[in-house]
Amino acid sequence: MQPVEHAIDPEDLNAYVDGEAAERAAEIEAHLKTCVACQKVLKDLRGVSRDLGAWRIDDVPASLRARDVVDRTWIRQPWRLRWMPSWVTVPAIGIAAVALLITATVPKRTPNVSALVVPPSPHGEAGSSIGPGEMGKSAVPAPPSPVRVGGAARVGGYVQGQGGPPPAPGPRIIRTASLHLVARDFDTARASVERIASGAGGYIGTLTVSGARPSARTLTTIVHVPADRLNATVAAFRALGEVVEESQGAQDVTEQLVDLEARLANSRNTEQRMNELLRTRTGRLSDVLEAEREVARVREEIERLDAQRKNLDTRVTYSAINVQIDEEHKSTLSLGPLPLTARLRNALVDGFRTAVETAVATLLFVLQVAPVALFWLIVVGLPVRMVLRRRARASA
Amino acid sequence: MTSDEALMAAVRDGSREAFATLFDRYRQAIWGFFRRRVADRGRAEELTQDAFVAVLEGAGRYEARGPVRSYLFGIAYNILLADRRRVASAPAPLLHDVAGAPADRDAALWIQSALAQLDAGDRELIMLREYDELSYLEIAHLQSIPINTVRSRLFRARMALKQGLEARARVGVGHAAG
Repeated sequence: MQPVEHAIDPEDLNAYVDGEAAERAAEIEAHLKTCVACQKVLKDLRGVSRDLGAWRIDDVPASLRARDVVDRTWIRQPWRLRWMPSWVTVPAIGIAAVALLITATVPKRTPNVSALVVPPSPHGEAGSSIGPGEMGKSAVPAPPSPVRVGGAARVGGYVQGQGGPPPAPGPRIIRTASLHLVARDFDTARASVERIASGAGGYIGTLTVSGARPSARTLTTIVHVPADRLNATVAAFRALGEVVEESQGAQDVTEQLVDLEARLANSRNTEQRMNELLRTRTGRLSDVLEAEREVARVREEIERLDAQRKNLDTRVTYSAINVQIDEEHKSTLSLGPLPLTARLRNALVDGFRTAVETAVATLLFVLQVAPVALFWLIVVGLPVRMVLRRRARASA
Repeated sequence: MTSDEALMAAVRDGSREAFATLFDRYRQAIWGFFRRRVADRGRAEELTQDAFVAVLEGAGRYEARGPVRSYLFGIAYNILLADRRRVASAPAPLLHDVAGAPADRDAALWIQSALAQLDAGDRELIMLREYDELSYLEIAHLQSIPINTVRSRLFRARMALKQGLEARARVGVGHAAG
């Protein structure tokens, strides 16, 4: 059999399929009439394109509109007023000016905190009301109880006890605060921390007290309170002592939460589809096992994303306040009477120390006096002794 | 019908109507570009909008050096690369969230799994050609590679993809297409 001479490169056939070999189209077509191998390659290439065409995508979402794109561009580039016709521009500027005027002149209404009923406290403050400015004035403030909305406790903007928090519209902000105080009455301050936290509908994450009397003690705690009670709670903490340092922060996690929700929904869809495939399709055991491994992986991914979402939700709902309270340092030192055993031991130690010191002092005295005494004994004592002996002999 | 270039010139001069026409003309193509490359449908929609926002914002700097279609896909491609860099640390979902009838979904999954076996560069190349219908020259400009490289790599990618599709068809992993 006469081998076919391939004047046409397979890559040329590929370009021919894509309409990118117009200058050689006639030559390629002539070659294809006689070359079975190239016909096969051509068929394969076209088959791939045909197969790929089976991946169809859904239509453009209805929410994707030119108007929104223009609006977004206008927000990012507000000087592009030319995108708005004059009949829109003039009223829009007028409305914006009026809104600005109203905002600047009308006093801002604060939440009616006085309507919150305070639960009975150990100090007999049952039923007292707290005004917005009173939280920080009382030495032991009694925080408000959770607001009641239709019989369910509303904490941090959500209604609890009705199937969990609904997705909140608007920005989702994680708010945090940090407070460093010096308290004169440390024990009262410590007791107040727990009462403030529970009174605000929050809880204590961690609490550590270090140091012991008579040294100054330090309390460090992380208190979580509903986000809408953050300011009132910080004000209550301020009243516990002298503020040394204070800071507050906010982190917008709206985009992060939306992204997590979307990824979660997507992973759940994937899991559902794979489970359907596993139920309806048959194949080799190894393929089935691999598919099951993938399902497990997707499930793990779902749980991880869900945990992330819940964690973010909690941090948005409950603000964290880092509180450090240092006890005011006292310079006076009061030891008080020593116990009897300590006094006996001290007396014994003192007596022994005195005896030793006496012995040492005597020894030192002897050592210091002895040479002088010996000298005088030789100089005076010996002649006196000789004289006395001669007299005794003469009288005998 | 007004040409793309004339529309783009009008957009540059601030015509909202011209932009709306251009948007209607290309929104399906740009949407398809992102939809096939981004697993999350919502994210694909955002990126599509980002691409058109970038067209508007950059309209003042637009110069008619090539077809508007190439210009639009160039913007979309850069936005896609930026987004991939941004989410590089996050694990990608296994498969795309595909819509449609079960048979369509099976086919889509079958093709996606075959494409996933390709080298990332080859996969991008074949998708630009097959789905976005860019010419070899446009692909070469977009990826900053010689046109002959596009020719050879595209042929290689198609043959590899053929084997991948056949292998998956044999084991019956959801091949519902002819």
